[in-house]
This record gives sequence, C-alpha cells and structure tokens, in this order.
Amino acid sequence: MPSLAWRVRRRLAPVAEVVRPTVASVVETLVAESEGPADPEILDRASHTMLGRIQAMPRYIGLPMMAATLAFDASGVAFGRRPFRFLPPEARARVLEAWRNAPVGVFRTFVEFYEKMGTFVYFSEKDEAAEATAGREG
Amino acid sequence: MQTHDCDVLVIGSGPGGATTACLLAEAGRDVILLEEGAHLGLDSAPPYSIAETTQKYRNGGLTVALGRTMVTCIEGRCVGGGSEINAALCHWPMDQTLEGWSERFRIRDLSNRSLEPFRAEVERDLTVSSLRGPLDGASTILKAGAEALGWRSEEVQRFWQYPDSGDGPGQRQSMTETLVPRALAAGCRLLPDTRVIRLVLGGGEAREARAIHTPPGEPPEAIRVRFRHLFVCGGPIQTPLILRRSGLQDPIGQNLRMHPMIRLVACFDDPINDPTVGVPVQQVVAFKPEMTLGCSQAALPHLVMWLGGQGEALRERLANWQTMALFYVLVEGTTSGSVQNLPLLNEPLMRYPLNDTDRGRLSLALQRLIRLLFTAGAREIFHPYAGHPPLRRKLDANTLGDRIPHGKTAVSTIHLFGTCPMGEDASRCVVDSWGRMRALGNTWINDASILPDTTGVNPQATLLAVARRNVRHYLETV
Repeated sequence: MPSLAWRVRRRLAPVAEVVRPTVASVVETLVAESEGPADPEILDRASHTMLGRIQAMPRYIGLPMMAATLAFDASGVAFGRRPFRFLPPEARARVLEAWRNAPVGVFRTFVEFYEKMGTFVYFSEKDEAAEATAGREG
Repeated sequence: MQTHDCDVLVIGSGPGGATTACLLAEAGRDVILLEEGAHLGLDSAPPYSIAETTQKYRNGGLTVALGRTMVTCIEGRCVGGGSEINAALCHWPMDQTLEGWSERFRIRDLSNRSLEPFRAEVERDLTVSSLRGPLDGASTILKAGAEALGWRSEEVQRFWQYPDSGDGPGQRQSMTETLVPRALAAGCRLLPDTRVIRLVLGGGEAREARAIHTPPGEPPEAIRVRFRHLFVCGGPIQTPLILRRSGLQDPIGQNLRMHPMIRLVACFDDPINDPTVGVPVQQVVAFKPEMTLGCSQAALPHLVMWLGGQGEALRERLANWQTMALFYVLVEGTTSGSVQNLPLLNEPLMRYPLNDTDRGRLSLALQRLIRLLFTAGAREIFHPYAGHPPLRRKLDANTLGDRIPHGKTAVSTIHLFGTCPMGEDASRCVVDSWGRMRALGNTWINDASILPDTTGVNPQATLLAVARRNVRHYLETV
C-alpha cells in the first residue's frame, strides 16, 4: 500500500498549481533585480521546476513553504490592495524588501530560499535554453 | 507480493554498498543490491546542473537539519549514491583522526597502517590520479594566496581516469563506472527504484525486507526480499531511518556528525572562471583537520545562487561574472545531532544544534579565507552574512565577529557521519568494530553511518577502505 507521504503528495498536486503563479511572480521579481525583465518562456519553465523542488522537499518543510508562499502572496494586499502576483513591479519590490528585512526569522528565510533557489533555477533554465538554441544553430 | 531470495541482501548502492556488493559477489555469494534511486550513470545530466539535482539528489538537494541555524544536507539518491554527484576527491584521514576514534569508541584494529592494504586496493580499483594540465583559475588564486601567507596548500588527487593517449578531460570514477559493473559481472542482481520500507525482525535477526519497487512510468509494487545475511548501506540518514522504522531504537540515529560549510563569492580584476573545468582541486590544508579552505564549481547559476540578495549591485557584477569565483570553508563539527523517523510520513527528522565552537570555527575559517583572497588580489568579496555590504579590504573581515550569527548565513553540508557508530563501547556503538549490529545477529552496516565522528577530510576514500576491511573480515570470519 502506498505510503501516507505518497498519498499526501498526490492529493496536494492541485493545490500546488494554485501556488505556481505566485512562485512565478516571486522569481520574476528577483530576476528583475539581478538582470532586468525575465524572459516569459524561461520564467514559465523555471516556475514549474521551482514548484517541483518545493514538492520534492521533505513534507514537514515543503508544506510550510507552500503555505508561506500563499501568505506572501496575500501580504501584497497590505502594500497595494492586491495579492503579490497582481502587483506592479515597484510594489512587488517593496513587499520583497519588507520580508527580506522582517524582524521575524522565518520571513527572511522564505526570501533567502527564493533568492537562492529561484535564481539558480531561472539561470539554469536560461543556460539550458541557450545551449539548446546553440545546438539547433550548430 | 513478489518475493526475491538471496544469500546476502545489500541495501544502498553508494560507496559502502557498491563495495560490499562487489566484493561479496566476486567471492561467490548470491547477492541482491537494492537502491532507492534510478540507475542512470554519469552521463545522464551535466554535473551540478538543475537536471542532475532533480535526477540524483535526495529531495532535489533540499534536505535540512533543523536547529537555530538550519543546515542544508545533500545526499545522492541513485545507483552509485554520493559518488555520482561529488567531486571524487581522494583524501586519506590523518593518523590522529583514526587514533582518536579508536580511543573514544574503542574500535579494534583501525589505523592508517591497518588500512594500508585496503587503501592500495581502493587507489587501484578507482584509479586515483593527479590533475593533468594546468590548474584552473580559482585553484591558482587559492594556491597563490596560501603561498604568500605561508600556509600549506595542495592539489587533492581524485578518483579519475584519463585516456591512455594523455589527451582529454578524463572521467570521474564513480560507483557506476567501477564497482557496480563489477558486481553485476560477478552475478549480483541490482534492483533500482526500490525503496525499503522496513525490515521484518524475529529471533534477534532480520528475516526479510519489505520494499516498494517503482519502475519508471509504472505504478508502485510491493516486494519482499528474503536473505540469510543483510548489509544496510543506505548512508548516515537512510540507514538509521530504515532501522528505526523496523522497530529498533536508540542509540541508532543519535550521534549525527557533520562537516558544516559556508560558501562565498570573490571578484577579481581579470577573468578566472571557466566552468568547463569542473571542480577545482586545490585546498588549503594548513588547518586540517579542523578546517579546510577550498574552491567550488561556479557556473553562472551557482554564482547567482550564492549572490542572492545583492539587489541592483548584482546586475552590475553579473556583467563580468567570469571575474568571479566561488570559495568555501569547511570545518569539523564538534557537536552531535540526531536522525529520527517522522511517524506516518516516513521521512527523516534531522536535528543538528550548531554550537558555539562550530560557529567560532566557521567564523575563523571565513576570516582566514577572506585574508587569503585579498592577499591573492581579490577586488571585492561578497559578505557571507545576509544584508551586509561587500568586503573591500582585509580589515573588513573583522565584521564577521567571533562566531557566525544564527540565521544570517547559508550553512550546508555534504559530509555526514556517525548515526550508527562502530566500536566496542556497547552503550553508544550500534555495531562492533567490523560493522556487525549488536541488536541483529545477521545484519551488518557498512556505510558512513559507522564512521563514528568527522574525518576532517573528504570521507569517500576512508569509507571505501573501511568498507573493504569490514567485508574482508566478514568473508574470513562468518
């Protein structure tokens, strides 16, 4: 009989899809900081990969991370009356900065996770896309 | 439920398990080798890429040991285990390390001298080689800085095979390149994609293993494997987890030891970064075993990962990313954590309380690394603590303080030990001096969980030699 963990993961797959637009918007905001506007196609792939990463984490970390992502999205209401994913770039940057400098450690840890993993995934996908293009041209 | 029978079951195909399966199969034993991950080989994904972390790392590389400072723990999860994803560095332990273990855990007949024949076999079977060609840019920086400061540094040999012609980059000698094919050629049966759920125990012995076999694209299938003797080689996290899930308790899973490490990025005036050269091989060894300074693989995605949080400053720097390289400090942890099983979820709950001594060592190692890099010509070093401005001169290293602060820097580890220590001290040693379990008469453990404390160096070579020693002892005495 499949383990409870396996069954939980199956059940949570639709929930994860709800989180994906927020994951994409956080990565987009971080990429904007480091190299300017993100490529939409690469961002789409990166958000899928990133979500896969969160789902692959041990459940006792992955589930709180998903919940924190939803909370982060909701916190956009306090800054621009809309969830984070619907905010304009300047307002998104303000939300991110507030969480980055929050007095509560878990808020900072959340931003640090996305800063490291989100940018790593995006730039990896970008490298891969560039290599694929070079391969086709070569 | 499908049933398999064998003489010896080996759970886990990393360096310990592959060594065990290979030597036992070559000695004529009927062996089954179970591995939770897939059988992929080295060429399935570029090294250190996102694809590789997805395919071969447990939890995509995002397993965490909890504590006031969380430590990211990286484990392989594929046929060949950690040997498929590591730098293949071959470093033998210092005499004082093995002497200390022998004394504190009362281990019989363990020293560099007694390991000598096994070391020779390991070096032969896994083709230990020095780098051919010039050092990479980051290694050259590290070497120059160490020389200027009068600190000893050296090029670490690797498990690496170069073509006879002398041309070409050569190939890492992981388990899927060496001992796993040998085991299969000797008749060992390999079952990849098979996760052991628990052992069925009875009469002071392990009777069978219950597992879930999930071939790619197919539904999971429950299987059982019956055996006469069992070797558990799942590594320092999975081995105690399997045993605890099977009903065994403390001291299994206590005494988790590790080498905590921190990375930082340094900028130079000239290009030094060529990601195609792979992992740099130079290390500062003047402070071993307590601390090691070295360089890491640093393709652009890795640099960006460790530069996160720099905001606008990052955009400017990334335009010249070839002038940047990634360096690390690694220290011997001095405290111990634990691995326990989370009920129902069947996942490990790891705890590691990074103590004041560990934090002090990490800070001192970072200060030394920063001093070295500025001596070697660094223009700027990105502060390893979140929210601090970059460092521009040696004196800025003083901003690190006596100990790294909790929660301000990313600590990770790739070297874990000690959750089932070997030795004759029955109160805390799960196995005897040759890996046989005290609680189960027909079961041995032969992976890094039996190394009772930190090695102070990359542990793969030590593990390969100790695993051989234990299998030889088994074949001679059982």
